[in-house]
Amino acid sequence: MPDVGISIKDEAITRARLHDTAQYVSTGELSLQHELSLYKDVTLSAAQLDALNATPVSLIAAPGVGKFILINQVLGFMDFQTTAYAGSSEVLEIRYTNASGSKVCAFSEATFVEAAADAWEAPAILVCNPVTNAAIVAAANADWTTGDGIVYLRIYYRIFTGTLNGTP
Amino acid sequence: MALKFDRFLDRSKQFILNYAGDPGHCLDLQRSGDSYVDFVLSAAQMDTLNATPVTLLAAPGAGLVNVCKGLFLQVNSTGFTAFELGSGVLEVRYTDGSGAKVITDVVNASVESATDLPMWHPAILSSVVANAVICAHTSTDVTAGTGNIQGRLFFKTIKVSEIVA
Repeated sequence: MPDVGISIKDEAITRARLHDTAQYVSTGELSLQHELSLYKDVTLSAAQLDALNATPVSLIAAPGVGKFILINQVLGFMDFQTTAYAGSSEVLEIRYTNASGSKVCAFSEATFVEAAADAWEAPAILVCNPVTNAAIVAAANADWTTGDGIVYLRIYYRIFTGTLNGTP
Repeated sequence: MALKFDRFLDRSKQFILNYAGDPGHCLDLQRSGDSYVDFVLSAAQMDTLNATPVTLLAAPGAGLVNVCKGLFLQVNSTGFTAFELGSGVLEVRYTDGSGAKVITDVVNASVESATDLPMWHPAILSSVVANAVICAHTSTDVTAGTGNIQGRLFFKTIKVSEIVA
């Protein structure tokens, strides 16, 4: 983090400058039960994509005992190089744990991974079954036979303990 | 109120530090996360959920809109009789059993799970209803079951006047 001359006790950040916070709380716009959405950027190289069926790539490490990762959104960019990926019905998927884990989302084959030009996609997040203390991985149901593009992923997610208020 | 405010003030300061120290971002940063509400649907509530939807999130007040972001659910079945929902689904809607859906339906097979089952249901595009409750509803009657369903509903509350001049 750059040195910007502000500390946690800096009086430049005052109640007056944050006065709207109180209003947000009082009107219900902010709840004390409030969680941030995190994100992580991950790059999948051509070598990783070519072997993704046999060797899934960990995208987000397991969060710890008793904790879940919940995926809010995945944004992907295919950086086309010189040779498009080719194959037959290969699908780039985001899953819990490994290639057999609950599926979070899947990218389009023809218009994203095998595109012959740069491509963007934000695949729909699926109904899935989160697993405690499980990593999030990229996997494929088969290996592409050729291709040298690079896939960049931004994964928006949250982690929570799985301990819900009001436990019966 | 003072305690709540001080907690937000401290956190807001930390946010600002994390974002290169520009206080100009503070108002945006304070609302960058999602709020959430936890709930439990009891067996008794499940049995009557078709006729009597259960409020998960209260109406936010005049001039405010709740927008749902996702729903974590856990069906608790261990030690209980599993629910029987027939061909119905568990829904999350604005207002009542006829309101716009805000979360993908929970299919009967999941509601009827005989083992504890965690689920993540993303939000769906829907009409947005101002100052309306968010409720749980089943499309058919639950005819059996003694367990419960716990959940955490993630949402944002938006002030209409900040968007609509």
